[in-house]
Amino acid sequence: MMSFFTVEKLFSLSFYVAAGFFLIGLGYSGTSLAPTGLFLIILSFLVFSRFLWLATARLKKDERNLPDQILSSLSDDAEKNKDNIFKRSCALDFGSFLLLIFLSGAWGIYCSIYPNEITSIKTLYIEFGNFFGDAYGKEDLEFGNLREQIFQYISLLLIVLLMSWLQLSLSISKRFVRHNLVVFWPAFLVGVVILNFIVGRVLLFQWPDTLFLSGGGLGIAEPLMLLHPDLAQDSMSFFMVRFFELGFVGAYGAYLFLLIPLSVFFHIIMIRQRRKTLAYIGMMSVAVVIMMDMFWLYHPYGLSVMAMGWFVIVVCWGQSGFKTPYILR
Amino acid sequence: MVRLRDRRQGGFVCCILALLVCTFAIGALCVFMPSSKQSASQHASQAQFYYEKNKTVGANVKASSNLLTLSEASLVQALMHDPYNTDHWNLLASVTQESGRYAVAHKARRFSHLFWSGDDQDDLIEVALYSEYKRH
Repeated sequence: MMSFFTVEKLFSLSFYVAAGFFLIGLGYSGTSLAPTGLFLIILSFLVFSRFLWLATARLKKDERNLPDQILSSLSDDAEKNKDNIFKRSCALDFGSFLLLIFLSGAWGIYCSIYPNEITSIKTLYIEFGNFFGDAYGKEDLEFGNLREQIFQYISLLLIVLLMSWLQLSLSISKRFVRHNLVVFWPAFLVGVVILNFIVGRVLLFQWPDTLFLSGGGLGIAEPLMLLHPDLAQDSMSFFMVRFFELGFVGAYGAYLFLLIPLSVFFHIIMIRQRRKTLAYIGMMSVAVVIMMDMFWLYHPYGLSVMAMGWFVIVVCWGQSGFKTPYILR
Repeated sequence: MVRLRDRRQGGFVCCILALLVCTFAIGALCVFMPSSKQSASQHASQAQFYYEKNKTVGANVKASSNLLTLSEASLVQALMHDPYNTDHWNLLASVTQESGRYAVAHKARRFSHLFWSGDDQDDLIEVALYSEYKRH
């Protein structure tokens, strides 16, 4: 029987491997769904096994006699730790995060099935693409269909959910948090600076108004960028891409994901007055992610960099939420 | 016999397990869904349908005229690869005419006429047009 620490180390190692594949896949992913689906299957197995392992602490035998009842009340440290992690997963902040993930998925599907008028861009692009393709003597149209776009979006959301839960549950260990910060925090900051040089920032930023509450549907930003190269070079930030695809609600609603850890950080700094360093690191990462989201030009590598920023935020958020974090030796 | 400590926790665990099963199912669906190459061919056929429809019935791009912001230079440059195909020039002229870009439509018609007008002066016309295009 492996000890609690050994199993935690194995899960930590699995998280690092999964995070590596996730970051590389996010940066280099094409329109193919198969790798995303395969990764989701492996991740769901991993989370499933960890969840069952943690849930064993919540199980108890049906004691019939007094000695068994007394013995069962004396649970060991490992069970307490498991119980602690389990309670952390059921907390209000992670529940809100879970709800937001589902709402985001539902909103993305709604925008794709009932798109805004902006969707005529796609039809127009296909017409012109065929027109130019005919002129050049070749066809180079490559688009994912609606079903493919929706499944890719939902898969990505679920991967973010499972990875966040895995990281949040592992962040009970201070050593795991320290390693995460050593790996992801510098990589995130360096990535932001490198993207500033190789891709650049927006020249013009416009605040979207409520006229377009819903967006043009998933995958609409790509043809728009091809149709309007000037727009893509000047103002197509991550925020604007989200605005075109998911509308006003989706563009601003994504910041609610950051509001949950921010509220935990504020709680730590203003009320609990302990483990402030992690709260400050998390808040700084939130600020950098928002800055990058609004003012950095869209690029697939940027998604990987933002995911690294999210990992830093989640690990600080997870550790800050534990009342009695475990110092793993 | 093993049971959970209370009914609420049991419900939560069941919900999470159901979510993980759904996640696994979505992942499996993604793996076995048709690849993007098949989707691209479907879109190409759809685009061909739109193209034929607009060619015969008339382009329905007037409502989207504000979206036609491709520069004149890039439009003309695209057709310069096969300038003797007058159908392309005429189609460009009709589309841009309907979208209110009269300068591009006028130029496309002029190019269509010039390239249609004879074979012996091809090189001369092409050089003249190219120099005119570069000047703009």
